[in-house]
Amino acid sequence: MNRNPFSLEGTTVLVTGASSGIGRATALRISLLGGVCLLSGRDEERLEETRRSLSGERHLLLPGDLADEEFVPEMIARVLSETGPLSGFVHCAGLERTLPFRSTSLEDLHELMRVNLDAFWTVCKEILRKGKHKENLSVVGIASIAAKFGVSGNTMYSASKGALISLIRTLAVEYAPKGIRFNCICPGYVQTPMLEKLKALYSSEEEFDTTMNRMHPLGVGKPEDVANTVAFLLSPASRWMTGSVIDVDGGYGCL
Amino acid sequence: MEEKLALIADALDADKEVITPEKVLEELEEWDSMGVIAVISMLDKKYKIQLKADQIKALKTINDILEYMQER
Repeated sequence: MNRNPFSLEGTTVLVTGASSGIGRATALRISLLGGVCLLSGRDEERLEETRRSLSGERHLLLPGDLADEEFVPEMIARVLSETGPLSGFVHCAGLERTLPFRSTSLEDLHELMRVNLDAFWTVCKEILRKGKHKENLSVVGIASIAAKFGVSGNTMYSASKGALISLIRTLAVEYAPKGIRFNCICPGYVQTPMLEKLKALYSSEEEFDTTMNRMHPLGVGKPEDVANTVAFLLSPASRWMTGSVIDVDGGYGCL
Repeated sequence: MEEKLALIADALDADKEVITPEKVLEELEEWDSMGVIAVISMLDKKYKIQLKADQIKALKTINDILEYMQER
């Protein structure tokens, strides 16, 4: 029996949205467990900051636009030549936009979908090809509790995350015969730059804190709370899990 | 002016007749959390203005919103 099934030694994991928040914390956790990170994001400077915070070496920066169908194959070709086939892919890149439904436009929806869904779709299409991944590839999507519970003003975000969950469950079944796993995490509100933006919509910091604490019996989460679950889903410890949608929400869903 | 008032009424989904420069926002039932976000978004999309939290809190009347819609 494997002495430590939670170890990520010898793995190579692509992390999107790695320049901040859950993506950055995920990269750090992977590196601490022995994995090599391929850091994807649009801001090279912030990706470099993430790389400097990681444990170990060989981590690669992959700045660029993931929804660009021409960029992704080039990026994966670079990964293959520099680090070999992938062991894991974590899609943390995501946009949030709170707007009343009446103020939304299809253009707004498409802009959000481009990052939250299209990028995941494009990367999966590329890495699922033969020779581009290891036998036991594990893919993790960061969805949201917004996909499961209604929140006013969240139509575009929740629709995009709901679509991500459905896509992941379908891919889980389609690729199970090949031993490739797909799982999903639904975080509650987590202390990230995304949450800071939401703060501006409340009349005071106290009102914001009270509302957030009322929604989460365990309080607002930290990026590492989600990152730890991602690491578990990437590791051999979760080898019998696929198509799962795990709530990491401080009890949000219990209320 | 009429056009700007119409934009505000549209963002708030309020009747055009009640949206006058002097109208106190708190008296409008449409000035709820979604209404506030809708107006912020309208200013951003149409006028490229991103209001900060203290500027949002300082909005008291329709006229305060109109001031951000000038000369653009």
